[in-house]
Amino acid sequence: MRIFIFPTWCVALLLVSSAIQTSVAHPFHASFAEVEWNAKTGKLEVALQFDPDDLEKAVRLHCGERINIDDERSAPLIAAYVREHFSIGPRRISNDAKVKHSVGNPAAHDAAASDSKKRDVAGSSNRRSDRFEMIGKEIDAKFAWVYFEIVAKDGPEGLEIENALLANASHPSNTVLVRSGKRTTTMTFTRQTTRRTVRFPDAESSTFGS
Amino acid sequence: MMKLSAQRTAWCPGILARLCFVVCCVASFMLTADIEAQVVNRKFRQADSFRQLDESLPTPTETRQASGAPGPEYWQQRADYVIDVEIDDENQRLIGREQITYRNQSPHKLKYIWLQLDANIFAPDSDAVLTATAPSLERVSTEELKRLRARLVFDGSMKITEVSDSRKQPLDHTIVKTMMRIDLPAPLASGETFSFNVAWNYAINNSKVVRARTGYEYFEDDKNYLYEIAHWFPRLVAYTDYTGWQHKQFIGRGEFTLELGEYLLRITVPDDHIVSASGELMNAEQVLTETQRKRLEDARTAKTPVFIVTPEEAEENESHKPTGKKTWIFKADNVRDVAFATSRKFIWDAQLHTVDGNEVMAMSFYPKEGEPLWSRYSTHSIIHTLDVYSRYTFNYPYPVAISVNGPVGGMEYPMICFNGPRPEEDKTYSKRTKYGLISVIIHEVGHNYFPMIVNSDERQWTWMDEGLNTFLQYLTEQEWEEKYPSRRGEPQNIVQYMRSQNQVPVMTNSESLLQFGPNAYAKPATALNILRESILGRELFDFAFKEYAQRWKFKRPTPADFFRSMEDASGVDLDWFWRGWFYSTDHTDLSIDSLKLYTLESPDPKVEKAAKKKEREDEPETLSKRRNKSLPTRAQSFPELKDFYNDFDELDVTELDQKNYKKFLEKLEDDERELLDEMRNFYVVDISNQGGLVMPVIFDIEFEDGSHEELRIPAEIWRRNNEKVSKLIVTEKTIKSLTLDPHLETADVDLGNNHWPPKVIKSRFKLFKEKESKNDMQKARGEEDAADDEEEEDSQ
Repeated sequence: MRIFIFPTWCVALLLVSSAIQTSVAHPFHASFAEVEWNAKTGKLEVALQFDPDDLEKAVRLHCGERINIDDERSAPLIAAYVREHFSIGPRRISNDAKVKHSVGNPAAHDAAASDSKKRDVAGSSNRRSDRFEMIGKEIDAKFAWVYFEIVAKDGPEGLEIENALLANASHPSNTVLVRSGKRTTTMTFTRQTTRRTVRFPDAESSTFGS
Repeated sequence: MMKLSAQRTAWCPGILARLCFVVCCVASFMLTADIEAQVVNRKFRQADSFRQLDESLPTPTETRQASGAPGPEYWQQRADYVIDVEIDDENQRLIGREQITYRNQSPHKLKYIWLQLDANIFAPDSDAVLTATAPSLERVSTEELKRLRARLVFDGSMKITEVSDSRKQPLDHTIVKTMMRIDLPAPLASGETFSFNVAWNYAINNSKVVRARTGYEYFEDDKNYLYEIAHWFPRLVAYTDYTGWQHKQFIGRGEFTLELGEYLLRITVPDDHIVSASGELMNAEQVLTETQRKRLEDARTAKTPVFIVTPEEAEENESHKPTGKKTWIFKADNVRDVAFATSRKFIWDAQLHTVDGNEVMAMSFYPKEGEPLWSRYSTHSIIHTLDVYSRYTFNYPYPVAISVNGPVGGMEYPMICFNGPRPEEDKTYSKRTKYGLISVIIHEVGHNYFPMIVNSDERQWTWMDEGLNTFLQYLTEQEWEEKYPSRRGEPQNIVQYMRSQNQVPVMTNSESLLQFGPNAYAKPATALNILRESILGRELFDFAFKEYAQRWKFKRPTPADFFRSMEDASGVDLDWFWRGWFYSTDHTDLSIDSLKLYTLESPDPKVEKAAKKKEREDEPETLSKRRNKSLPTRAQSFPELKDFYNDFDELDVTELDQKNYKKFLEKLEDDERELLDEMRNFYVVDISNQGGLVMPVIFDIEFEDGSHEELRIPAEIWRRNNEKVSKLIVTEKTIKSLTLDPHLETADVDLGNNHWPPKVIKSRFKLFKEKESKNDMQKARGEEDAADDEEEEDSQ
């Protein structure tokens, strides 16, 4: 994998930008995911909730088109966006990271096209995107829900969640609730922290019942 | 179904004790609640959820009383402004000059005064920039890179060109990041006034690349600019009894609190611009055409909004070039800030609305890009907000209420607010955009009440205005139309946030909040909705909330004043509620752990012994007994072996039994005899608190005869033990099922433990997948899976 290389001045700018975005009026951009492991299927079942405006803005930026998420034709683009920004799989080595530019990304269209076909995701591949299968979406004036499955034959414990959703919004906050049987844990992802490993707390120290 | 049996004991007059029971347990597991934010009693090892808040609140004084009302010694400062400002449309700069008259109404002598220079947040070395932590560098969009590049060359900080006294003599001053201290020539005694001048200028930010609460938008197609100008002049810092100078640096989140005062604004712009500002227009004759003035007059009696500048006229204006400049003069009284918007692109509509005798001109300004959405909904939304908010608080006191469309997504100032939603380029709009626009206008116009008039301190506590305002926004949305899709307010909508772990209490400074929106907007709004609907009831809550608003109208409340006022006016001790919802990160998760049934033993031997016989007969026959039935016995062969004991049945009613019963009845009082006749079921339900937050326990009880009863138990049931409680339910009927929080009114994060008998609650994912099933066979398969899951659950 190519190691992330970015000019120093650009990194400095990024810091500046992040700070200035704090002055956006009434910023609040959040997603919430409920991830539940289905031991029978060996898959993680994910229900992911967005503010519909946030999702639409993010998908438009990702695919470079003024799509309407209410439109059924946008489903593959939504799937492509989510698949690229939300994944669960074996831990990656940290310096594998590379910069991705996401405006008008032609790869987004290709990914969307391939996603529109149902694929066998039996878990033979190590690529995270191959473990992802879109199930559907529900969008109304209040919330947008995206449903998908991710192959995880041995359950979620020890897997790494990468969640870089809404990265272009100011102060995104992406919360993920993971359930496996009666064990539960929640994690939150921000622009600063996009990867976390699933570790279930002991039952005694868990903060709520399942 | 649970099976009842009885282990009966003797009836003791006057004592409802010695009951017998059968326990029907549900799977239960007690998890330690998150009690870190609560006071923990080390011996009892429980969070002290009902500890009184007195030790956390400031000591009451004659300035701020124990009742939560301002006291006889309440004071606040005053700052009056005369401002001349020009917008340089060629270079997108703002050039300003102001004369401030500061009145020291505090009992203190002041050696210096502070002004805030919010625009300095755009300086490259501002605290906002320096304290920003590293973002993830893995994904950077081109749009973001454009913003970064623009930010590198942009400096929007204020250039202060003059600070002088009323005789134009320079005043010593020191700029401390986003603040400026002016050293007074002589200390300003209580009751004295000081007038001084400040001149400044700065480059206005392009909101497309430097997003903020203020800025300009450039329209490539017609080469025009639209300005929304806010946080734009050096403003007197609030000097208060609770914190002295509120000169906490502006880092971006904690908006502001300021001094109330009178403003005279002279805004100079290109002569083809339309200007909208906080305050009443004082020189309509100079800046408006005769037609426009006539239309404004028509708007005073119109039943629907009237165009002052029509869409056609606005479009015509777009192609013109200015021939000179015009100065628009506005006057605003009793406001804590002023903002304005200006563009040659503005369409303008207006309608006079009377709020309980006070005439308010509701007005909207928007470019053609906002049509057809804005002319249809903006002014209507303003008027609706004034009606509903005034009913819950006080009458809107200002002469105008304005909504402007431009680059800012949503931001509030006295009498004017900026709102972003627009339709698509093809003039269609989605349902989301429509309701997004109505909601944001309600929210931003609503901010006139909190914090523009009830002048709470957002530099310190975001929730005091955002939370209260989001709560009233919800009430207002629900009165717009049936089934309005409100995103915040309903308890079930905040469950996901409440169960998340990276939280800080609502009572956290604005700059340190995690999950800003859910924390400062949704959680307090939902808490207040729960307080209104489920704890105090609408009548008590509305009275107390209105009392708080009226007490602090044009004054400066703190959280303690809100908490105390709500208790003072409602007559209900709510310390546990504030402690749980505002000072902790606990959440609601109540669980039904078990249900026990107790029945009374009858003292009448005929009834009691017959019942026991029946129980004996109902006992299952063991395998050996069944097989031994045909076994010949010795007693059958030799009947002489049988004696008294072979025929005696201890469950037969004897004469002694009858005699004892008679004596027993003679000893009873009439009311005791009556009580005895009412043979009832005594159910004890064990409830545990898994989430830590103490909340009312609300049950739907379903009986075997099909009827339902609702049992609403106040949160005080937890006052001696906030982890586990048992509740007695006395009924003549047989309980079939129990459901906790049947109306989803407590934001319970886990409905899986809210049922007896236990019920499997399907995940959102599974429900969706089932709904998407295409045929009956698939649906049937889903049911089979669910049944399997249920079996597995039971076996665990």
